[in-house]
Amino acid sequence: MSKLNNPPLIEAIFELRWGETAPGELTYTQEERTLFAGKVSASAASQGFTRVETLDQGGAPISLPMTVSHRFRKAENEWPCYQVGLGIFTANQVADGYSWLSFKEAIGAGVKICNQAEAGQLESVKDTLKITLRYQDAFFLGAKVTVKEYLNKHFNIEAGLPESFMENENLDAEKSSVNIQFNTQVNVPKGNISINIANAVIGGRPGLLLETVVTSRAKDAVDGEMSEEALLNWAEKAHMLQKHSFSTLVEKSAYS
Amino acid sequence: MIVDVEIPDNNVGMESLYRGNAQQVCAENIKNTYVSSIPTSSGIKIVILPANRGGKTTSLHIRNFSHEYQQLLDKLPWTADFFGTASELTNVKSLLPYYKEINDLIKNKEFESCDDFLGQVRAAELSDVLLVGLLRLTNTWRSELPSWNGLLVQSRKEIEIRGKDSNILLKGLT
Repeated sequence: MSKLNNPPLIEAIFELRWGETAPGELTYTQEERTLFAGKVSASAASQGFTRVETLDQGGAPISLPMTVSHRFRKAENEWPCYQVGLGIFTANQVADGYSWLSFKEAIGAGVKICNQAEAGQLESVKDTLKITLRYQDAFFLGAKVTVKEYLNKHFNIEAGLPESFMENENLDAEKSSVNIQFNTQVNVPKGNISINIANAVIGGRPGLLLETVVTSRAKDAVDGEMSEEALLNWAEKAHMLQKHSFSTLVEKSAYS
Repeated sequence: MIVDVEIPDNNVGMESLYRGNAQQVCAENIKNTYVSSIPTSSGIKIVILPANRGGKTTSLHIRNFSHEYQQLLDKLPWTADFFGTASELTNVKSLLPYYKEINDLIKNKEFESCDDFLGQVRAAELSDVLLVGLLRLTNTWRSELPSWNGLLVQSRKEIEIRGKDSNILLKGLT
């Protein structure tokens, strides 16, 4: 993805989430609820990420699970940045300055920050730990082009409602939007990949957001300890799948 | 029976559940409160899995698409540039074209359009200057702009999140 002339990439995100002991059941220790984010802040600062941004959590008086609450950067509007919240840690890189190698380095540094913040934290939550590599790409349709027409022309995806559905006089075809998701189980790295295509507002302009998300449960996909090396090994495999996904789903005409 | 419902947008399910249960939420019962079960009249338990929710972890401002937003862009095309750059508008030169557009709306008594615009503003996406500037620019006509008070509430919260004193910065506006 890094070698494309005009890449549609807007952001690549590596995520660690933990605490979901059963679907919808979330469990965190007192320390995770009160101290972990602060420890990550100190650890990130020791690596030069001294700018701290506090993020809105919808007015919640306490930390919402798996929702980022703080962001750490080296300087304002600079990436990579790291984010932490209750049961979540992420490494983020936007398109400007992205290459897989530099992002991989940033992921490694992030895992180091996490492990330095609380030795053994990731290991202790391995049973519920989920690892995700998420790529977000943006596409802009142009005037009078429907999503279905755009997908037919620029994506190798066939999806859409039949014209007979839209012909109903009670439907306003011009005011329709899409949010499509495809999920497939993955053998290497063991987990799943989801492809989500949705109308979104990106940089102020309506467009299509393509999200490609590779997720594994750590206990299924990572051998041994939750070390920097082990997680980067997973990320490398997930990235290979991301490349495969992009090259097979998106036609060059969408970004040239 | 458990039905997994993936919600790919920004905290929509979680936020509404959270607000619905605001009185019950406390640190001790965090495990069982929001996120999970949606009550249904059929008795089928629906669980929203937290994984794979796009937007939540992005460090950029990506919004859910809405037809109201599209209608605003059709009516006032300059708003696309405004929303795309709102976090970077920090000096007179960059702000002036947008302040002029807003002033023109007010001057021409296009309060409904101006209110549609204010209704789409997200305080978290605004620069420090705009956080206060938009409110001050439209303050005189606030009674004609139903969205003005909502923006004031948003802005107050965002100012405090940014570690500044909202009472000082919003003096005269409340």
